[in-house]
Parts: sequence; C-alpha cells; structure tokens
Amino acid sequence: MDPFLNVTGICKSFGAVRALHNVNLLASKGECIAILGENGAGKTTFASVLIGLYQPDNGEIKLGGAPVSVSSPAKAIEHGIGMIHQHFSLVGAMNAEENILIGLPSTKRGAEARARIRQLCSDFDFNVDFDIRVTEMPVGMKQRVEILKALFRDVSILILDEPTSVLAPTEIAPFLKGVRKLVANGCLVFFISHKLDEIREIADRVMVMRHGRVEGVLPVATTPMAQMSALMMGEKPTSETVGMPKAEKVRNDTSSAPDALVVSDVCLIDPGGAEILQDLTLTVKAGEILGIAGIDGNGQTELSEVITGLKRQTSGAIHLNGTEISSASIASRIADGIGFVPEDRHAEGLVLSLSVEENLAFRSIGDDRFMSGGLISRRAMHEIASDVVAAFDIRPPDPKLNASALSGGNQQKIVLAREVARARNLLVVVQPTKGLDVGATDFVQNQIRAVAQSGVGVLYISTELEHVLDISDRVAVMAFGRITGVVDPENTTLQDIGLLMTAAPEEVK
Amino acid sequence: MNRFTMQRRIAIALLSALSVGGVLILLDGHNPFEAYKVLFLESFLNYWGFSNTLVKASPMLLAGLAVIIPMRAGVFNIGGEGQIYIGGLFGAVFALAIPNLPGILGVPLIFIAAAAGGAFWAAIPAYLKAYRGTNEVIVTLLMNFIAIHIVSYAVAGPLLAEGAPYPYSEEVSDAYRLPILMPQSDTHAGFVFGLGMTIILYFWLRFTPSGFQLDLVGRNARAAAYAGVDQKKTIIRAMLIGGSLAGLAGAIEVIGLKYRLFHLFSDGYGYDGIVVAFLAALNPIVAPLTALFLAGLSAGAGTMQRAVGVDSSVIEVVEGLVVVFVAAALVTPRTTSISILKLLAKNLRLRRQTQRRKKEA
Repeated sequence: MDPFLNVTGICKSFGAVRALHNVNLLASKGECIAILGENGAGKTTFASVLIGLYQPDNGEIKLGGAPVSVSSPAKAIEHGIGMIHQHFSLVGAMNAEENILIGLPSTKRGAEARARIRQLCSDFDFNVDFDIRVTEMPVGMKQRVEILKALFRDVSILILDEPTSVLAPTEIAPFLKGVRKLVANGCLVFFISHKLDEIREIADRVMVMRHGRVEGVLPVATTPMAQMSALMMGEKPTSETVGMPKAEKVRNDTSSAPDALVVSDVCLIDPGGAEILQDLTLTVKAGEILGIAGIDGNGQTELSEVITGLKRQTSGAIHLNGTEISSASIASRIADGIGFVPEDRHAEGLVLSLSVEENLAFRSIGDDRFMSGGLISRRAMHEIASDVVAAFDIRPPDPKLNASALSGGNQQKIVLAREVARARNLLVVVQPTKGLDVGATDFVQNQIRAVAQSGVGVLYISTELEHVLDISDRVAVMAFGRITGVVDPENTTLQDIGLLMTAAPEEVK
Repeated sequence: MNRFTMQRRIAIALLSALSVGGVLILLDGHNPFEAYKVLFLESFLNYWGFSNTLVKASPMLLAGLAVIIPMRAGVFNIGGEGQIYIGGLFGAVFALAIPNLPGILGVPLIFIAAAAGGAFWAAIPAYLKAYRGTNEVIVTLLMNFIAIHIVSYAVAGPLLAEGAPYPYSEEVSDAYRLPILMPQSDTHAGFVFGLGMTIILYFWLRFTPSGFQLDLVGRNARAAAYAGVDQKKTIIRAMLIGGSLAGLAGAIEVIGLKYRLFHLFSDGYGYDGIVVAFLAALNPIVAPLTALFLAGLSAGAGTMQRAVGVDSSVIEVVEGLVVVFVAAALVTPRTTSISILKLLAKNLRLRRQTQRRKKEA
C-alpha cells in the first residue's frame, strides 16, 4: 500500500541559496513527525512547500498515492493540509466561532456548523471560551482556536510551527495532550521544534534537517538525544573537540579582572505570561568576551534589551562595575558607557534618512564632543565623522551621504564605530555579522577584539555558532530564557553545545 | 524618502497642479499664461494685492509651523483650526479682561495667553496619543468642531458686544493692536512675527539636542528609543509647541486684523497649514515661501477674475489640485503616507464646509 504522504526529491532555491535539497519523506496517518534543525536548516521552507506558500523547483508530493500540486494555501486546505504559524492569523475583535467560520459561505455557517465546532471541542478536550473575543483570550486558547479552525476544514495533515514557544509553561502540557489526541484520531502532525524534550514526549519519528538536507528520519523512542543533536549540528557523535587551531589568536587572561557586568536572577515575563528570561545569571569580566550561543528566539534579544535598558526586567538585578543599574534609564546607561549594537540595524541602530555623520552622533548628541556653546556643533560632528569614516574605511567616504545609500556592511560599520566609541565599560553586540560578507565579518570581529583588549567587557550574542566560538573567551549557551551551560570554546564539542541549545541537560554531564 | 527627493517631488507636484489648472483655464477660453501672470502680478507686485497676500499668509505660516513641528515627531496635528480658535479666545478674553496695560506689556501677555490656549487644546490629544495610544488624527480633527462651537457660544453669549448685529465681541483696546507695516493697508506685523518663529524653530531643530531628538522620534521611533529619547514626552512636547503656534495664529487674527473676536473668524487657516507644511517638505525655513504661495493664490483670485475674466473658482480648483498632487507626491509604500493622502483630500471638504457655514451665518 502507498503511504499517505509521499514526498520525493523536493528542491527549492532562493537565488544562490539552496533552502531545500532533495528532501524525501514517507509518512502515514496517525503519526507525529518532529522536524528538528538549527536556524536556516530548511524546516519552515519545507512546511511552506507543503502548504503551497512556496512552489518547489523540483520534486513531487503524493497524497494517498496520487500526485498533487499545492499551488496555494487555499489548495492546501482543499487537500486537507493546514498549518498553524507562530504568529496567529485570528481577528481579535471576533469570538472563537466567528474566527473559525470566517471566509466560509453563509450556508455553511448556520447552527449545524456551530454544533460541529462544539463537537470538535469536546472530542479533543479543548477548553475554549465561546463567549469572549479573541483579544481577551490567553495565548494557549488562541492557539486552540487556530487548531479548531484547521480541524473544522477537515485537515488530515497539520503542521505546527514551534507551537510551544509562545505558550506559558502551564499551557504546554495540555497543549501536548491535545496534539496526541489529534494523532490518535488519525491526523498526520508535523511538529517543528528544537526542543528535544518535547520532541521526545510527543513525536513518533524525528526528521533532522541541516543546510536544507534531511540528515535522517529516526524513530524517537530508540534514538538517543545526543545523536539527534549531533545530526542537527553536523558532527559525528564522537567527543572530538571543536579545537580549531587558534595559535594566532590572543586570549586574554581575565580570571583576575574585575567584573564589568553582573546579571543576577533576571526574569522577564511577557504580557501573555510566557517566561522570556528565567532566573538568568551571568558575569562578564572587564576585558573579556563572553559569547552567548543559542537558537534564535530563546531570549537572547530580550537579554540584550534588559541589559541596555530598552526592556525592564520583571525581577532580578543588573550591576555595572559594581553599581546597580537595574532601574536606570536608557539614557543614563548610555552615559555610563554601555555601547550597544542592536540586532536590527535598519530598524533600530540607524536612522536611514539621516546622514552618516548624524548617525554617528545621534545616540550621544548631548555629549561635549558634539556641542559647542550649548548648541550642536555641526562642524565638530562633521570632523569626528570624517575621522571615523577614514578609520573604519566606510565607503563611500562621504559623511554627508544618507545612511540608506550605504551597503549593509558599511552600515554595520557606522553602528559599530559609534558604539565602540561609547563603550567605556561594556559593549553588547547582537548578531553583528548578520548578512555581512567574509571581509566585513573579519573587520567587525577584529574591532570587537580590540575593544576587549582595551579592557572593556564584551557580551557577544549571536546565532552564528562558529563566529561565537571563534571570538569568545567563554561561551554561555542560552535556551528557553536560561543559561543552560557555560563552556570553554577550546575544550568543548559541537555535540555538547547542541545539547545545551536544546536544553537536554541530563545527558550533558 | 529623504528630504531632497521630497522637495523635488513637491516641485513636480506644484508644476503639475498649475499645468492642469492651465488646461482648465484654456478650456474656459482664456490664455493660462496671461491668467497666471495677472495672478502673480496682482498678488505679489501690486501694493494692495501684496498686502492682502501678507494678511492671509500670516496665520497660514503659523498654522503651517503648527503642523510641521508635531509631524517632525511623527504626530499628525490636524487640529490647527481648533487650536487657532481656542488661542484666539484666550487672547481675546485676556485683552478684554485687562484692557489698560501698555502695549509693550499687554501684547506679549496676549500672545502668551493665546499660546497657552492653543497648547491646552493640543494637550488633550497629545496626552491621549502618548499615554493611551489614541489616534491623534481623529481626536485633533473632532476637537476642531468643539473649539469652533465654543467660540461661537462665547461671542454669542458672554462676550457678545453691546448692540452687535453679528456674534462678535467688544473691540480690544488700541494699545494692544499690532502695528501696521504697510500704510493705509491691513498688513499687520503678524508675518514678521511668523518669520521670527520660523527662524527660532529652524535653529532649534538643527542645533539643539532637544530639537534633534524630536526629529529623531519622527524619523525612526525605535532608533530614538534606542538613543534614550523618551518618546511619550517628545510627543507631548511637539504637540504643545504645535498648539502654541496655532494659538498665536488665532491671536494675530484678533489683535492684528479684526480687533475683535468674531464668530467663525478663521477661514480654514488650520487646514491651509497642513498644505503649507507638506509643500515645505516639513522644513520650517521653507514654510514662509509656501505660505506666501498659497496666500497669493487665494488673494489674487478675485483680481484675476476681474482682469482676465477667468472665474475665480478655477483658483479654488488649482488649490485643490495642489493638495492632491502634493499628497500623491508624498505617497510612499508606508501606510502613514496613504492616510496623509486621504487626510489632505478631506482637508478640502472641511474648508468648503467652514466657508459654507460662514456664508450661512
């Protein structure tokens, strides 16, 4: 007998990037398949091909033995394929029923339909309040409404994209129970995740992806977590160390240096109740580069924002050079000499409609070096900028040009140059090499090293593991808002880091 | 869109508006070049015509600045009209209540009272925007109608002059009247006052940290937050300045031109201010020019009708075309710009309404 879903030879490229390369999969009804992989491994692209958001360049999808062409999400629903995205597509001002029935012809929205919704709800033991609007619902209930919406349309394949990442801890267990019911009722569920413990709990098989390829489809019950993690990270499950030759690399001995930054027991709970940061503690010594590794969306961005004052922690304390700054304003932290290279340089780090020289000044416009006689000195601004443009080789070398006219690498140099000049005590950098070519990456890394060598503590947050390992004196791994381990980059294996990233600490020791 | 492309686009928009208007004049059987020439000569090179232009340009300039400053902080103040009314009311009440001060003291105090009135009227939408997330466009717009009716009530009731045939207040004392710049005409010092404000605001935005940071909030709110700028306070500050400027426009109408507080005394100047502001690409230093341009169009329309025979309503059409083309020039993929288009189109309708009501009254 043919399997229910048969995917063969799916390829998808975006320009020169191969997002999916020859993906094959056989799956049957009543099965839960986890899709595991790092950022950019192709998990979401694969799901998008299944639901018709992307058309594959090559390959074939067969449902129940017959080839199908999923040309749009509407077609996917016709074929019984539905997906629940991380960001829900519900109308806040409507209640659950209205959301579920939205877009259906009025003949299908009568009492019968309503009865069927209640029936589905009780079949799957879903707790949904039908009297309130979606905006008033907790996140977990919104998610159940999304799933009901798909079930009402008779999906037999349901794709869940990182479904637990938005949930409060107490909502996770009931959610997984609901998914198990779906599977028991003959649904084929894809569960995109990087949380190994959840995968172990919910999935029958795990499909591990890396660089757009399927590294293996393994039965969960008999596969050790270490093996899954190793496949995901692209390393044979041996204990060989990362150990790139670092003879040329100067490591600072900072063991006796004073603490530049101490973060103690910091918690951050978002309005939906999800714990973004949980009792997070870390120390950065003066002159040290502490790397933070982890998969995107595990609280790294929020950690940088809490330290620099853009977000206020729910509890816990932050000290800079021994002085508490837990409730200090952003402006006072800037004045305290904290430099910050934010993740999104376009939306946050730069004002694209301002000139290069104004961009080099805007975060510290009231500083003496930009002022003369109580007014902003445009001449000082220009002179300082001319020096920076020369020192950082910013091209084209015209400080009067709008920042929007520069390439990504040169824009990053503007942000970096400004923040390096600011950072007397601490430099926080998030994804500083994102989207940069090799040359620009090297330049950025060298600048950051130079800052550390001058005795400033550096917190280097990135999802690009090799960059983190390359530059850091110590690497802390973050998962689900916690530091799951701190390792020495020269004496650790990718496999260990992979396990820490997926928070399976019991197998790490 | 950077400011240079913005200015170029606006120049093209102006030319387009005048060209389409020219075609209409042609269809009406007249020479458009002749008509525009007369319009220009009458509004700017004729003593009486230029006086008339300056009188109209004075409140337009201040109302334009009242849009520019909040817009530079990302807040769309279309409440200039209401702020003009409340500013005029506060100024007039002060002038009538304390009539015996010397002018050198009284006029600045009247200006302060009017600015406070306008700022008060702007503070309400500013607070709602900054701390409650309420859309400032709707609140400022609706508050215009409230303000107009408050002034109508005041001049028809408590402030009504004895034996007045029309709702207006008593005259303000001679000492409080703004000096006349061009003898025999109505041209008061209001435009010069507006020029002074223009220069102050230009320097403030460019050379002080607080002005620079206000601009930052409008350009990129997230980057401003990242730079430690308090967005809420900036919004409040920008709106208070905007409201004060519009309030001053109200004061110069009262003590510069009419010497009384009239029912419906502003001829839609608050809405003209929006056009002035966007024509100037939100640059204060350009606003006097765009205010003169817009004022000149409406001041020369009547003479043009008499001299060339082109119906003066063609000029109303040209004014409308300016609004539409400028709005189109400002449209970027950002949704805010699309709402600018809608709003500027609405601006026309509102001005019509005000004018109609004035005729009815």
